[in-house]
Amino acid sequence: MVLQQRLCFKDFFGSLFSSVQPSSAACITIVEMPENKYSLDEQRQLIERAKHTSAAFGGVFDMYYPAILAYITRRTGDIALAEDMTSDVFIKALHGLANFTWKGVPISAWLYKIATNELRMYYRKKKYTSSLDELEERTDFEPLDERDFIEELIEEQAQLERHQTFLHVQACLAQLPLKYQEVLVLRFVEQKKVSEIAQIVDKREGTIKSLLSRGLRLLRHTVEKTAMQPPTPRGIIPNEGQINKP
Amino acid sequence: MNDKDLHTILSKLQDAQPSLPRHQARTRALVLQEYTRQQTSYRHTLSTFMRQLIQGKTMKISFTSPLVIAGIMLLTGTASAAALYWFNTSVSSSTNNSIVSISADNCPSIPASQTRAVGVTLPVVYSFNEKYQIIDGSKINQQQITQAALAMCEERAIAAGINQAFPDMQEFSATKLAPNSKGLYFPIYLSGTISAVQGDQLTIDNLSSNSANATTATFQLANGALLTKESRHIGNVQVGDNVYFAYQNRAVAGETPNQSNPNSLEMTTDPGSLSVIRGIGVLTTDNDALQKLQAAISSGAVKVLQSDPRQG
Repeated sequence: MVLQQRLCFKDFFGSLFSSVQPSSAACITIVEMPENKYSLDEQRQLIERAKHTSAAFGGVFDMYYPAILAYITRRTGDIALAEDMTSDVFIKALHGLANFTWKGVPISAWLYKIATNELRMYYRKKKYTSSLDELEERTDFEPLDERDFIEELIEEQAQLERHQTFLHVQACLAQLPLKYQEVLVLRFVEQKKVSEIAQIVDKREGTIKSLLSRGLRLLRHTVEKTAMQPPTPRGIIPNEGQINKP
Repeated sequence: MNDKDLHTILSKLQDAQPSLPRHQARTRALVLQEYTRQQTSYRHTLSTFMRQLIQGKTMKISFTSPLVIAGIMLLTGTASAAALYWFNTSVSSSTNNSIVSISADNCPSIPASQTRAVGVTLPVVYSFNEKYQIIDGSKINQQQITQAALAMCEERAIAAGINQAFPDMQEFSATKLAPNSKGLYFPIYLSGTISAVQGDQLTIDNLSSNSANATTATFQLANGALLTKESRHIGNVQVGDNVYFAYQNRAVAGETPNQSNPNSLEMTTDPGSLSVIRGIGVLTTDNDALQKLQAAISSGAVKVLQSDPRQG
């Protein structure tokens, strides 16, 4: 299914968008395309085009943004954080694009790898500074209505908080060491193959299988232990101060 | 609790599928604006360099340095070999302008803050058409030489600050591109025709196109790896298809070019899709030049090809 979204901004960035409507230059239409629509060869061509044109890179962005956002949200349970981190994944992808060497690995694996690295850094430091803010300041970017972004964020976070099963599973998972969280989510939630996970986390396939096996055992133990008393998940319920940026 | 129950529980995480269309659009706009900024920054750098070149300010430092490190892959018979050669001339080519090498030992200063910008837009400098012309044997022009020199300088700048600039890029990790190395990317372009397809193995004929010295070669890398469709990501091909190669090697003083990484060889049926475009070292389809190169490599004395392509 192809999903289209039409959005407008106060600033004129018409020349930057591939999908600008001539009648309304300050609006864009985002078209989300499923990744599996493209063969590896087509993905290779897409990444090569992205090195040449911003429109093609915009296509990569459109195609993978939802998946990366969802992945980070599932790992953190915090949508405001996921917003920031997802933005940075694509900024880092942009900076690394010129040196991206095609090796037959799907584009998604490259982006998941960057995202996984961002998550590791976050969990090690327990804080996150987004480059998006710096970009906004430097470019003097002004969206149409900041309240829209805040409302969107609150709405999505509230929806997440209503999902008790998600909260419980996410909280149990968050208690595991990071290395197990990564492989379990990539395998059972993101539905990645073991070979893809190996590429994303830079480990051998045999190691991934071991981590999955041990991770499941640990998760089972954690779930059974907390079944009677669902724990309060980490970072799931933000206070108003946590939603400090649109 | 069994595994099935556990998987069911895990699958609940899939329900978290946030939709943030406004945030997506804003981030997209910002990222693409950054993309454009980088391109603009690079064009400014390039135009400054070109202007200096025209004024003769950078000619000396760009083209008269004594050493060019080049990794050359020889394709002949049933095997190939890779070797490291040191050219004594700064700009060298055959009389047919077939092989050009450029030294960039003393690069113009590229501020660290601009190294990314330079890297991002290199493909713009070498557009598909320009690459195609090179592959087909067209004369390399002054602008291309300049761009190639700049690309080499950019590689050095990246090599110097690689760990800071690209922390997430595994293929550019410090273990593969040592800090302070004088690594240059040196691509070789070749073309040929597929004469046989057996299973996953390809046989390439007429290497470098119209060469009278054409060989029927089962293409092998120096380490013995066979050229396979799978390893080259070439997809479906058949006998008679023309294929194009680009071999990129990083040659470092005192170090043998990396022969163990077959991924550094690209093969494609679409020359416009070759991504190996950095540095210099252009092998054309010119028959005479190919023979000279092969003879020179065979003898172990690469004193090839003196001519200034700038003179046409």
